[in-house]
Amino acid sequence: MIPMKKICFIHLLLILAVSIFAQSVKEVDLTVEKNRIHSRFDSRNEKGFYSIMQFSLMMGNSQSTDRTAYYIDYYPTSEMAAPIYYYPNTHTSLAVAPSFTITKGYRFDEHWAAGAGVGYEVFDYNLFPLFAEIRYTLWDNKISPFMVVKGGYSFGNFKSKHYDDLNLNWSPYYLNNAELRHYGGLMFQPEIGVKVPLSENSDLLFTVAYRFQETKTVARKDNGPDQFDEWEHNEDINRLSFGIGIMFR
Amino acid sequence: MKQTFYLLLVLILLGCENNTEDIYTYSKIISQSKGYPVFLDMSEIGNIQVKANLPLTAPFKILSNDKYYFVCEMLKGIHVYEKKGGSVSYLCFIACRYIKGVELVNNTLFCNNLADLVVIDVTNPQQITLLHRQTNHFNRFSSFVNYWNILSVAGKGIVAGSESHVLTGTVTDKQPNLDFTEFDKLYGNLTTTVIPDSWFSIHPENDKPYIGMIKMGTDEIYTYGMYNSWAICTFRSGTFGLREEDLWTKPMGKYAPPYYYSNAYPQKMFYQDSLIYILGAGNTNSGYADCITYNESFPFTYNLYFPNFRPVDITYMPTIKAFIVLSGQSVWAYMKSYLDYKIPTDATSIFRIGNNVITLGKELNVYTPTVTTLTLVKTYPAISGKSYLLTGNVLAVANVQGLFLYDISNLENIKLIP
Repeated sequence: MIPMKKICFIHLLLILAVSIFAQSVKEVDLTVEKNRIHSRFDSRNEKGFYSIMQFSLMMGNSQSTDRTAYYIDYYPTSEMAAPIYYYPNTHTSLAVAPSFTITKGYRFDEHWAAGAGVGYEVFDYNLFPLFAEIRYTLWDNKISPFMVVKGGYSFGNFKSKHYDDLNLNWSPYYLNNAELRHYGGLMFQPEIGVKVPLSENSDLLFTVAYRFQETKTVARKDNGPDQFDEWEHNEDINRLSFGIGIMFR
Repeated sequence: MKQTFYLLLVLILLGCENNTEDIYTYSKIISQSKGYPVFLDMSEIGNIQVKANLPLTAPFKILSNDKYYFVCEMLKGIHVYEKKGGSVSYLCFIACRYIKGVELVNNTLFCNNLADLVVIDVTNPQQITLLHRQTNHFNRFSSFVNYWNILSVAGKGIVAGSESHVLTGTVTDKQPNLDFTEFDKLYGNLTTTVIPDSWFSIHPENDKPYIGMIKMGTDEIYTYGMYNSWAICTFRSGTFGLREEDLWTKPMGKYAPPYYYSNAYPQKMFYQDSLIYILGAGNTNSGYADCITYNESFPFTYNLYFPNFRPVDITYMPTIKAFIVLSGQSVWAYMKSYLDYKIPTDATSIFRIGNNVITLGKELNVYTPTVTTLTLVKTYPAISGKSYLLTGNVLAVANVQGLFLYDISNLENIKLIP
């Protein structure tokens, strides 16, 4: 699963990198004169559709569990193998979750824009966010700060997956012969950034964001008709996100 | 500036903690059992009735009024003998199940009927009248001696046993217990008329309920109160009266209330020579005898303790200022210290006549006690009995053959009254 993720991200990064340079035929020439930033793209359309491809790394503390093997001399004089017990040891550590999103929207004027997007994110499991955004840009045709507020819902798995041995980061930590499903949840992401015009049709975006993400994971063990044990793990994820993206207009 | 930025970044990252909540839900088919008490139905046990005749097997107390002798049979009832001239003849048997204590006030009999106190009019023993039933009177000990009680539920009665019933059904996290409502309806009021065999041993005086009754004054019956107290019963002008009296009751009677040892229990209480005696059993084979004296100024009790035996009977010999005690194997005396007279005997009763001590069991022995010795005066092998009543010069003795009266005006020549 993890190599597959890496391959996907390498592809996405390649697409992003190629896209940055493929959209402009004009050389970017930024000069600073008398404390004013100028660009060569004074005749850009103020209104119209836009699309953004953005890659981010979301950082924060996440809970993880080590399983320490514990051996006891159960049968010291016997040739039988002593049983091994695994004690879960839960701790928090820095976690980085990559995110790739594509947004389509409409610019109403020089400052305001709104759109909707989808994405692919890798926390401890995959999430597929579907969100709407409102965007405010200070200046359109030069290097400019901007603010975005994104809100929506991240989808998890659409069906349960069966595991013969299921290790969890939360109680009961281990289950055998059980089902697991990640449900996702609401997301909210206020974002600030700097927009650097690359051409008449593209801008480079650097962003810093706070990301709030609700998730719900359910492990279920069916024991017969109308009999089950179900462990629901709800997690509110808080992350600091650093991203780079490109906007086409 | 850079350092500040990185520091801020690290702090923000550290602040990005996840908040978690774990919820466990389940649905399981389980079996749960619930115990239901089985209450004692007193309709049979409480039926006090007169029967024609019954063999005398275990007499434990003899009472008399001007017309009758009442010989009380342990756990069964009361044999009534009619006085005819100087002799007696068997009249009838009053069945009162689980009787262990009895007292007589003129023609009114107070006795226990298991844990209830019943008051019976025995003016004509062949046609008795139940005057009053005080439910659970002997089963309401409190405080540290709660365990003296037989388990009972107010309003429902004594718990004679329990039944366990198993229910199988589905439980969930929201409804973690099975619904026993239907079972509660079915089994909530189980009753039985049978008392478990284990409740009474071959020594019923050791078994619950612990009964003690003595007649004081003209018409008061002293019984064990709830805790370190007397429960004083009367039946006057057709009305039953009950009051508790402890050390703080004002005004208090002239006898100190009993003391309840939390590691012992009372076996026998009787009144003799103006003294109230309470004999009890302690741990293992130890026992005690509390001798409560009449005292108008302050309550006073002699507390005798016997580490190696449970006293069977006790009497007081004023000439040597000694309590003389039957241990079951020997005769002991307590003056200022304990003394074993080393006289082997399995007698069950001891009492004083004049300056002599009489023991009664498989034979009757007359002794003369001193502070160091107990001298045998005479033995009467033909006189045996488990209980006695001394009235003037007449000694009534009950044994399995019946009730016998003896003239004891001369202790060296005790004669059977024909």
